[in-house]
Amino acid sequence: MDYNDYNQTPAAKQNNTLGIIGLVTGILALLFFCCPILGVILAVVALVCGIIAKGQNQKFALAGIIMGIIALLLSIGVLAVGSIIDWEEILRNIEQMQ
Amino acid sequence: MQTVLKLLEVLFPVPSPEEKLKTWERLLILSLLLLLAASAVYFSGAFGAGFYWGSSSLFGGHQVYCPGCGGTRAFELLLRGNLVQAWRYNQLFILSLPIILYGCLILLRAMATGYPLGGDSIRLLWVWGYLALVLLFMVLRNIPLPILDYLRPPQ
Repeated sequence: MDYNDYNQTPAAKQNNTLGIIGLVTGILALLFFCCPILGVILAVVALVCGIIAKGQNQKFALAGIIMGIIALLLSIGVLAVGSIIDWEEILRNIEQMQ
Repeated sequence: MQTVLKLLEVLFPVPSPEEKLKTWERLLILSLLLLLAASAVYFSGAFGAGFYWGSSSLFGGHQVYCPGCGGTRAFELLLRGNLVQAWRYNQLFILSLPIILYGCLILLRAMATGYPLGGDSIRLLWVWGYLALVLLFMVLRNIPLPILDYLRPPQ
């Protein structure tokens, strides 16, 4: 290290806040995907934070985006399976057909 | 006294003006923490039974155990100080609690001091490894074998 290096001010700490928020919300969204409303909210936050962080070249941005997309698809899937499709009626119909 | 001051400096570092978090970033962290706190109150059973037990639409409709199944009851039992029963309901949730609490404290510190999150100690491999563990936990608790009964929450 050169003598002049000692006189330089230390570099500012890299700000990865949005990337980390995206990562954390992405993990939580994947854990809570079967509670669809909370899962969707967390997934959207992860996705938005990930996209903004990607634009600012922050760490973990891509992980947040990937987890956000997977969690959003899973939450919407669970929401659709749980509320729109009446599986019990479908099973009853199959039994009646047999 | 100096040791205490050093410790406070490490725990609550003062950011330089150029690295200090912007107001909207701090508000975002605050919103996330409020959302987590509201979820914790909701899952603690404070609104009464029946309001929160049916929250998992996967188990409710199809008898499929998601990784979070039993987590609400584990959380409620933990608040009452019953760690053994809480462990019985959702082992993964209990193991994850220290990480969740540590994450919340780091976010709280960032919001309070404006010190940016660097994430230098986080390895992406650990994150993907943890998610693989979550997936494995979900698969194992849905395999109808008596030996795996312990992973399912008691009925």
